[in-house]
Amino acid sequence: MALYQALLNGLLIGGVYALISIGLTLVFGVMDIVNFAQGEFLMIGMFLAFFGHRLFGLDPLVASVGAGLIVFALGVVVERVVIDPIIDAPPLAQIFATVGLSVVLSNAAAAAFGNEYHGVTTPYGAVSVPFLGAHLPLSYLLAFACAAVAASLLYLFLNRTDVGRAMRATAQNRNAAVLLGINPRAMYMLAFGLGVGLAGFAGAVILPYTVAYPAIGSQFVLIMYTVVVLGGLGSVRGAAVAGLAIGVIQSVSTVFLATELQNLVVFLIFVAALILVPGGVLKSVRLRRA
Amino acid sequence: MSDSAAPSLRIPSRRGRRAVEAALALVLLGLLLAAPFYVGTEFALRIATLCCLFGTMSLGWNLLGGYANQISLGHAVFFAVGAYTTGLLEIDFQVTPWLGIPAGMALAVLVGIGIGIPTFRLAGHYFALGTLALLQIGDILFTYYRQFTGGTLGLTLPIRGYRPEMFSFKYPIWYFYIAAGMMVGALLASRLVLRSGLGYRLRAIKENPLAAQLAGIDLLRTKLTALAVSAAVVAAGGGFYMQFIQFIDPDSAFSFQTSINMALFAIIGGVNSWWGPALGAMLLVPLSEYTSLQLTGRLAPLGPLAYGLLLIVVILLRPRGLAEWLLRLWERLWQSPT
Repeated sequence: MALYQALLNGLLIGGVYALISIGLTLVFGVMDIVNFAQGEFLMIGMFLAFFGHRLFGLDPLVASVGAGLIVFALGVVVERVVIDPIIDAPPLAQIFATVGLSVVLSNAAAAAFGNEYHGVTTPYGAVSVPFLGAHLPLSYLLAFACAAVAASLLYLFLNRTDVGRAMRATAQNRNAAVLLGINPRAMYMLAFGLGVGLAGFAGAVILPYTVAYPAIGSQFVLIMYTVVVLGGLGSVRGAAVAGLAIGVIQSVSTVFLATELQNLVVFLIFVAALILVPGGVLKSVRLRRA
Repeated sequence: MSDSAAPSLRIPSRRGRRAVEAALALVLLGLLLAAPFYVGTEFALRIATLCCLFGTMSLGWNLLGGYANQISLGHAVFFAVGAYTTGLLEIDFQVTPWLGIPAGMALAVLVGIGIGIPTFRLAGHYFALGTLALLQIGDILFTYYRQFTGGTLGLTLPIRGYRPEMFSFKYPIWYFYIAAGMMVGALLASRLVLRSGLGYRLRAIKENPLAAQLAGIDLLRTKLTALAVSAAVVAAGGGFYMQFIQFIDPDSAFSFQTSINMALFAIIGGVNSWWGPALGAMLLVPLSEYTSLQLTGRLAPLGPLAYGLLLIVVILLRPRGLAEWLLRLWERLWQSPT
C-alpha cells in the first residue's frame, strides 16, 4: 500500500522533474552548453510566484505563466551577456561561466530575500483526491498537470512550427543550419530563454507544495542532471521519460531506505548511467533493438 | 581587444618569464620568512596561514583542471579524505598527525584512482558532472554512517596540550610555517609537473585529446597520474585543515564551495602557469576573510556574490588569468619599442 502510494507520488513529482530537465537538455542539445545555473532559474521562478501571491494575491499556478515569461526574458539577457561570448570556448570557461552564474544568482537572492523559507498557503494545499485506493495530494496533481501542458506545448513548438524546426536543425548541425539561412545566435538566445523559462515556470507550479529559499537550486541540480544523462544529453523525449522514472525511484526508495539516503540511490544511478551508458539509457536500448 | 580569441602566437620571451618567476619567487620567500615581523595580530596570522593552505589546494586542483582541462567540481572529496583520515586516526587510534596526514594523502591517491578509472572515460562535461555527483554521495554517506564519522555533529579533536609531536603548537606561527612549507612544496611540484614530460602530455590532451592519442600518449594513464598527484596535494591540505581548525563535519568537508574556490583561485591567478593558482589564493583569501568579517547577517551573501561576479568577469575578459597578464606586462616593459 505504502509502495503503491509512493509510486503515484513519484510519478507526480517526476512530471515536474521532467519539465525542468527538458529545459536543461534543450539548452545542451542546441548550444552544447551544460547550464549549472538551471536550478537557480527554478528558484527565481519560485520567488516570483511567492511575491505574486504576497503582493497581488495571485495563485502560484496563475502566476506561473508570468513567472515563466519573466525568467525567459532574464534568460535571453543572460545568454547575450554571459553565454554568447563563451559558446566556442574550452570546457573550463564554459563550465565556470555557468557555475559563476549560479553562485551570483543564489547569493543575490539570499541578499535580497534572506535565507528564510518562503511558502504560500493555497486553498488546495491540504486537499487530497482519492484515486484507485490511494490519496493524491491536489497540489502535486495540479503541478503535474501544468508540467504536462507545458511539455506538450514545447513538443508542438519543436515539431510543428518553423522556428521550432529551425531550432532542431541548429541542434543537429549548426553549419548546415547556417547554410539554410538560420541565424544560430538567434536560436541560441531563444533556446536558452526557453530552457530557463521552463525551469522558472516549474518553480512557480511546485511552490504550493514546497517552500522557496535561495539555495533550493542546489537541491535540484543533481536530480536534473541524473534525468538528463539517463535520457541522453540533448534528448527531449528521453528527459520526459527519465524524469518520471527518477521521480518514482526517488519516492519508492524512501519506502525501503532512511530518508537521508533518499538521494543516494538517485546519485548512484547517475554515476552508473554516466559510466555504463554515456549516450543515455534510452538511446542505447533503442540502438540495441534496431 | 580581448585575448579570449584565438591563442596568440606571441609567447612571452623565455628571459622575461624567467625574470618574472625569479622575482616573484624571491618576493614570496621574503614575505614568508619575514611574516613574524609584519603579521602583528593573530587574525592576520590566521589569514596568512589560510592563504598558504588554499594556495596549496588550488595548486593541486590546477594540476588536473588547469594543465589538462579536466574540470573536477568534486575535488573537495580529497580534502575530506585528508581531513577525516587524520582526524579519525588521531581520535580513535592516537596516531600522530605527522603520520596521519601522509596516510590521508595515500588514501586520497587510492580514492582518486578509484574515481578516475571510470570517470576519465567521460569527456568534458561528463567528467565535471560525475565528480559533482561523487561530492554529494560522499556528503550523504559521511552524514549517514555517524558511528564512524560522527555524522552531522562532526569530529572535534581532543584537547591535547601543546605537543609538537602531536601537531599541536603553542605559537600559531608554527602552523603558518608548516602551511607555508606545504605551499612551497606544492609550488615545486607544480613547476616540476609543468616542465616534465607529464606536463607536455597533459597540455597535449588539453589542446586536442584525439591528436594526443594519435601521438602515442596513453590518455588514461596520463590523466590518472595527474589526478594522483592532485589528490595527494589537496588531501595534505585537508589533513592540515583538520589540525588547524580542529573540527570537521560533512557539510564543510564535502562542500561545493571548497571545490569551487580551488578552481576560482586558479582561474583568477592563471591556469596555464605553475604559480598562478597560488597568486589567486594570495589575493582572494584575505579579501574573502575580511569581507566575511565585515559583512554579517543579511549582508553576508554579498561576499560570495562578488566572487561569482569576479569569476564570470575574469572568464569573459581575462580567461588566461593574472599570471599571463603580468608576464605580458613585463614583456612590454622589457621590450619597449625603440
